[in-house]
Amino acid sequence: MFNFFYKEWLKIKTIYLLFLAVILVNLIQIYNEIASSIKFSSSFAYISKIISYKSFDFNILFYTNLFMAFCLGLFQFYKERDKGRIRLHMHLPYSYLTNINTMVFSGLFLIFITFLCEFVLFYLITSSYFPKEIIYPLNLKLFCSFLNAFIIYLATPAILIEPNKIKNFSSILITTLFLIISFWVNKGFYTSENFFIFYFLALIFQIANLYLSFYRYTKGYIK
Amino acid sequence: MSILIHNIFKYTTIFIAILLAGFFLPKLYKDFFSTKPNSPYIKYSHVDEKFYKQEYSYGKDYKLSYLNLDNKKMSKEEYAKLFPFEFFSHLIKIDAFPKKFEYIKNDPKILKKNSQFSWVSSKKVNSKAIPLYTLMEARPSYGSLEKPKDLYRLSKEGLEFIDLNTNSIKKEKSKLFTQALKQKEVLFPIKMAFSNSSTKKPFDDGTFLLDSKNELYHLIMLDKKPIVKRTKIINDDIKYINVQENTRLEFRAVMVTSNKVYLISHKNYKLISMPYDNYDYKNTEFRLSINPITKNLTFKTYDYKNQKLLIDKIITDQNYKIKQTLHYEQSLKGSFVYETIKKVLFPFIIDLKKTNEYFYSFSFKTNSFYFLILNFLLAFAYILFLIKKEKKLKYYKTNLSLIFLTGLYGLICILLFSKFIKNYDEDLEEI
Repeated sequence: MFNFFYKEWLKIKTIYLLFLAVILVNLIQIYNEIASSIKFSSSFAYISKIISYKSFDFNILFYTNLFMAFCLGLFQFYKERDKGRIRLHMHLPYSYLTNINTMVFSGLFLIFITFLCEFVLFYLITSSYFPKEIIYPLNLKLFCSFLNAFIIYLATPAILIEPNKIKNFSSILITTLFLIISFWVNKGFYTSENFFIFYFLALIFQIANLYLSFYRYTKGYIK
Repeated sequence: MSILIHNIFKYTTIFIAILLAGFFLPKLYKDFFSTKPNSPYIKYSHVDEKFYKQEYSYGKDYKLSYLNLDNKKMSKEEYAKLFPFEFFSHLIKIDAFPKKFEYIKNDPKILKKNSQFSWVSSKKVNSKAIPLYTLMEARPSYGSLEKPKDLYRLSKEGLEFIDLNTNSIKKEKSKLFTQALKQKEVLFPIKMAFSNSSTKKPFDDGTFLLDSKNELYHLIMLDKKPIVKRTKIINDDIKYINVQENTRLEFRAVMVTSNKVYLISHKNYKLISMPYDNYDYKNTEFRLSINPITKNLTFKTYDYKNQKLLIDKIITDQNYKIKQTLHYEQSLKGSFVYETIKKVLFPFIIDLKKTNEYFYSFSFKTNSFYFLILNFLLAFAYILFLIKKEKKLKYYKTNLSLIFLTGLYGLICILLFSKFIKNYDEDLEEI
């Protein structure tokens, strides 16, 4: 199983390490922004501003997560699909679902580890300046950006692998609609109370659609 | 992948896509075909003691119109003459201030001393605030109010003051204030706290605290020491308190329950009930405008259930005795054609409702059964199409049921995620 993971790692290691560096820079920038704002005004003025306007901007980190998920999916699957190597992987002597899972979960695992570290660092930065009443909604928002990233990561291979153009269009359309709702839901300081149901449905859709894309791809090949 | 798993995945994607269609298609329909109704703002003229309205019309022809209640338009100049307190400077300048209020013209301070405006929107009442509160020094050393260096939170056993420079709890101050509250028999944990964190006010009137036995307490910080007052107001239905510091010293705050609005008097915390029984804290906006002659109460309710905008205007004397009232209704519905097409096209609508300033929630609405007409027609057309293509209907049971139940949504999602017409192999697979 380790060899499977290593094979996937080789495909994405450059882009992954690049994004790791970008995320780190973003976190340093967030830390620097809070520290300098407090230094040049006061902690009370800065925190009062957050409370009054109910806003704390960390959009760069939010979008970096999404872009990273998209790029990892692209680097992991585009060449495989383009050169037809994915067929080889699908004929390895394991069950059909295991063959798909090893590819998809390798990428998901890397993203998960990155987000875990990002979450811990973000928490350490915010908790050194803000009371818990402010940290909790910020963390929840970051968590939502992770969920969005998972949606994008799962959608990317589904779109790349899908042989049917109409279904390709449908996948792009539905993923875009999910992201539009997600941005609306996360517009304010607090996340919507129903966001778990929404993300649950979005992830279920992407997982089902991914397996169906692989299914149609394999079926087309056999024919 | 087994056929069962394949079908589970396939119909899961279709089901979720139908839900998304139920969200986006009605929204697109609304964005393209609906028009925003005019938003009226009704006012009482002290000159002729009648009601008038300002109306904003939206869209490309955005404009503000001035009308009487018979919808007869008037110029801004004519309108200004009817509202001498609002257009005070302008009317003095053009020497058109009504003689009826000559004494105010001669002593404009009367107007300033006897005017106050309060506004409690439903958004404010229902918004989720960050539960950190400010308590300012009520008698600051140099006269002007200063932002405090700390905030407080409501803990299980009292108040916790947080030093914002170190992000740590100020134990001594917390103990001092908690002790003062305990002495006045406050039952912890405190359920709600309300204060006005602005420094742009003549003085600070502290904070109102609702304890666990639903009694309201008033806490002020004077020379860094707590002063706790028992208001003797006990109410388990308090939704919001808008603390208002005004030099008129008539009332300390506007208190809102689920169906009533009260003012908390400045002298002895007596509740002054507003003469209106249809207040709904979720949808009603309350405005109180006080001038030297009358007190004008406005209750503006968006009744989404019946698609109506209701405005109740109550004019009272200085003791809140009703002098004149007006009930105004406006439909929020679109045109008959718009509403009928909507009912026929969409079997259900999923809406992202803005429950307050920053908080969204999903709602699921079903229309009347008009949609069955379209669903039936679509299913029938599909059957005819299949017969024409010489397909066996028994292989299309699921598609047909989806179209019959979810109509337009189902049809689009089948086109996108399933097959409208299957070939022979696939027919066999799904048996």
